[in-house]
Amino acid sequence: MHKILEFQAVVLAAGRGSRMPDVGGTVSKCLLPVGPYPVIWYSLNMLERYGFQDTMVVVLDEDKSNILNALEKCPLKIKYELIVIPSDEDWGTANSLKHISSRVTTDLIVISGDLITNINLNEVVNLYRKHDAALATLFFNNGPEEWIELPGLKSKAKPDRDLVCIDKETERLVFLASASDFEENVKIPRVLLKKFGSISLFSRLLDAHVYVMKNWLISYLVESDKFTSIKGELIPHIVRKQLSRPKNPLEKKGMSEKNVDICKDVFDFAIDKGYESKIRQMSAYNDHKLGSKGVYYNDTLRCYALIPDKNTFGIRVNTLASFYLSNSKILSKWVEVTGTVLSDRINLNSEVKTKQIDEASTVGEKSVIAEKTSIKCTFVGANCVIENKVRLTNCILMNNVTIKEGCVLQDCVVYTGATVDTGCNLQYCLIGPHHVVPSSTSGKHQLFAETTDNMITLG
Amino acid sequence: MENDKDNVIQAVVIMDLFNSNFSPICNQNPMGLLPVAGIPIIDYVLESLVSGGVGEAILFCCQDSFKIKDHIKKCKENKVPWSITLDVQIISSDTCQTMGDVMREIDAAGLVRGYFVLVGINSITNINFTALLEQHKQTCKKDKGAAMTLVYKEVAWEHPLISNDKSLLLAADGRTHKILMHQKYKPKSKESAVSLPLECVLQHSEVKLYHNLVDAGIAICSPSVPPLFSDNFDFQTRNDFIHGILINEDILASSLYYTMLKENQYAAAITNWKTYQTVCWDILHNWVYPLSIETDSFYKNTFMFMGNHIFRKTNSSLSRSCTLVEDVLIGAQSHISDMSTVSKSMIGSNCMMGNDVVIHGSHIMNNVVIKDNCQILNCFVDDNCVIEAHSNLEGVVVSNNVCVKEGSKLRGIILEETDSNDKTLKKTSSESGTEWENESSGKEDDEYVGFEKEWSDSESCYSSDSSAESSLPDSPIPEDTNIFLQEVIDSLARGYEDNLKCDYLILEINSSRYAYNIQLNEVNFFVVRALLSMPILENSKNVLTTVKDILKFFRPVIANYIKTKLSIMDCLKAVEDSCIKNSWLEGRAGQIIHLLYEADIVDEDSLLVWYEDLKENESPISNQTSIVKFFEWLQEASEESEESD
Repeated sequence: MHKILEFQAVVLAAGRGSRMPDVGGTVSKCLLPVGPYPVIWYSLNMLERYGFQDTMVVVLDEDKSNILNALEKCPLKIKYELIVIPSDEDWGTANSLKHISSRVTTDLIVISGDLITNINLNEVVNLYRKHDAALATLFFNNGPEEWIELPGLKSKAKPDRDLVCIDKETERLVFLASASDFEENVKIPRVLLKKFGSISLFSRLLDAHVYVMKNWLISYLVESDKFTSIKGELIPHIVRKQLSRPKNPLEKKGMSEKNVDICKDVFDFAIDKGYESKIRQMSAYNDHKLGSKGVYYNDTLRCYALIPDKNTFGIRVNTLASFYLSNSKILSKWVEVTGTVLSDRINLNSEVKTKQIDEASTVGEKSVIAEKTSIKCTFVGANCVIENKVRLTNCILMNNVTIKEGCVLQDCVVYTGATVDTGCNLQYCLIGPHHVVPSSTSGKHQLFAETTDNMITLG
Repeated sequence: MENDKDNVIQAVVIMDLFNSNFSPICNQNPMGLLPVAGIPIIDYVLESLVSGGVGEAILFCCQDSFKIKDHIKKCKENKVPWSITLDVQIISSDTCQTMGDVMREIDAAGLVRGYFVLVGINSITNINFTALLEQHKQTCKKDKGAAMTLVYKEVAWEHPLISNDKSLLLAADGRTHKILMHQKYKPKSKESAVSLPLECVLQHSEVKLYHNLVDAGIAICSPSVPPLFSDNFDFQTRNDFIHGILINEDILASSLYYTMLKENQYAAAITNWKTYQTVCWDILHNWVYPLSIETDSFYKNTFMFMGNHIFRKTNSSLSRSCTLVEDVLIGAQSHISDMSTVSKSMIGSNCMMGNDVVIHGSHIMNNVVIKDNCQILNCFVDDNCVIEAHSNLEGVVVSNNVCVKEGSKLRGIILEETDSNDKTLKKTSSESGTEWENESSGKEDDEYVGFEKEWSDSESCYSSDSSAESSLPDSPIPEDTNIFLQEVIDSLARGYEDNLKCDYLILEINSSRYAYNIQLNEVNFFVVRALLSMPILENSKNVLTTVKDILKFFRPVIANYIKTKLSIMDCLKAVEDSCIKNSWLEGRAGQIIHLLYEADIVDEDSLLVWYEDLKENESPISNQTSIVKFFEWLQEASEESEESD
């Protein structure tokens, strides 16, 4: 594995999991367990696999110690530096980038801390390199989402969808918006269709939140000081700017004299430093077949998007559905995703007395599982206690969970420190952190937690 | 034998365009005989059908079918290549006014046996119809309702075939190639955004958007197409059909698909003079191979190739000092004299070019004489014309037997002979002329495109910085109201001409109103606007008397709409609007108001309110002398009447 030196990497792991159901208490998104490790481990592991030796990780102030503790237990060679952002202020992803901007000296790869994928990261990077792009992004085309019954209250909330236009011929990303921006009609600039011949408008892609970006984009971000979110504001802005032309210097001068518009625009940053444009002029290469325009339509600003084929596994653990789905799929995809063989599926320090535990289950450190239990497709975290005559199917048990005697749990998520008392029978339920479910409770699609607000949205 | 017949591919060729884009040239001769690069267009079409695998062609003529019959007969006698394998059937009907009528007729007569190819007489192509038909059949297996596969060619946005025709926006499902949306834009349309229904976008995981397509007017049809036309009597054109199907997909249980031609295949439709010119050049450049300038002759190749796409018949003659630049075709027995220059032009047979003639981008038919020192740029000159010395023609269409006088300087007009005895020239109004700038004023022929002097197709595909981001421009008048206005003008003009009862006209206006969903105050506005925009005013020598007559005639119509104070204000606004927009009313606003006042249509109070408004809004007519004078007069008159009280 060769080293990647031309890029710095940053993992954004300061998400609060606003799309996850409110179960009371705080659960940091990047520490949700997927298989034996927390979510954030997967992005760090991916960077390690593709030759990064160190990375920055942006985390919330309050999560820092937890994350450090959790990562120490995971197998990682990559050096990671945790950079904290204040948890009491509501910072967007672009604010985080701005926060670390002084440390960025090369082009940057931004990866979301909740990404689990088996994509070859080099494909994205090569797309970026090939076209000398300003920005390269990654979208998964996983086809129709699998329908799964979710634990917790039933809800009808539909996830917001991205509308993504990609020119098939040149792989340019030419339009990016959210479906919720429009009411009845989607408006797309007509110049776009005139310029690019084969535009496809996708509405079911999953944005992986993997961005490879030029160093000057960071400078622009700092200078313009108007973006809070990368995905919501910065990227659409840059994508839109592809259609514009740099103002000609005369016009510009006039404006600054009048002191009307002295703030720099993005084209002041997007300047070829080397001989790129001269080489392009001399080259016979052209990225499009029709028309008489030069290569890249003479654009200085170019955004690209990679859509890997449908079999690629890619998921972002930001909703209950994806959290649940990732847990049910991770073991079958383990080798592809992590590049390693999972050796300690059942932790050596755990005490598993039952023999009725199947191949699709894992058990965390220092957990105790009693003799007469049956465990199927279930993830048991660390320090859990599972007593006799318990049956668990398709469940996720986080750390320090106690399941008392005689419980039957199916398709449930039990958060940290919760206790399920004897004789419960629960299906599709969520049990919040440190909550105690009284004995002999039975329920279906319920939420057991100390929340103030039970009108929560799931999905 | 019967089995054999079933496998023969049928093609329906619609021999008329049902528009006046090529008038007056196509008034005397059918479109099918219009020469394109020296050969009647029908020969190309039939040849392309044969080479595309079609075995039987049904030519449907609505006009001059005997000329087509003669031509086909002659071709068969001469054993023109296509005549050997192609079974040609000529159907004629004088009653058909639109393509829809033709399809209904075909349905009634049961002319097609199954899947068939539908082409217009203006489609020039070298595609393989057999393969496309197979593809369409495959589509039909997956979707029983597949009615039509439309054939498109992808080109760059700068291509002249796009910039000179209505550009098409196509949205289709990326996986199945099913058409979801089909919208035509006017050439050089300024609309900055396209809008797609959100629901439709979200239903399909991938929607393909095309805006740079050439529509060659070729379609592969299922047997269900003619009955669909019969069932929906409002389908008049191909576009009606497409839109009707797309809107009522569920009701009609039909759907449309598209297919994109491969790179080496050519397809284009000759829809106006500019596309005519482009296709001529393409043929000369051999893009349409195997169709070429030798299409109608099998073995008698009599062309001499001189490089730079210059072809001339061996028996044509060139003087020593003339220059042929590029893309030139010279027919038999034609002669070009000293010091003349010809470029990008087609010259027919038996033509005489004088000395020092410059011909560029022009299409000159047979037996034309062009005298010395003429300049012919982007013109079409039909048979037997004489252009006298020192003439300068740019973008002119000259119909046959016309004699252009010595020293004429003409730009962008149509010349035609009015009567065979009387040799005077009728110059059709230059309004409907040849350049697009006139589009807004050219009333009825918004599809007419003539030649222009030079190509200027450097439209940038970039918008200026600001407009790329502000997606909503302010549109002057929405489409529907424009159509409504036009319909009202048409109804009124017809009513005036035929002396119809005003009651009927009111009924007609009201039905148009509901069709286009026009508000009542807008109706008031547009009726008055229409009255002042009637075509007779435009050519009238004494506009005011005509206006007076019109007002008198339409008094009941006006009375029906202009009753209340509010409607009077609508009426006055319409007057203001008309006086600004219609050149024939220029400077006459005051007189028009006076006429309205005298006819008791408007009252004094409203006039004064309106005048205040004019001044406040700094309307361009508020300072017109006629207006100022009228209001001075009004003031005096009212004072007088007060005194007398």
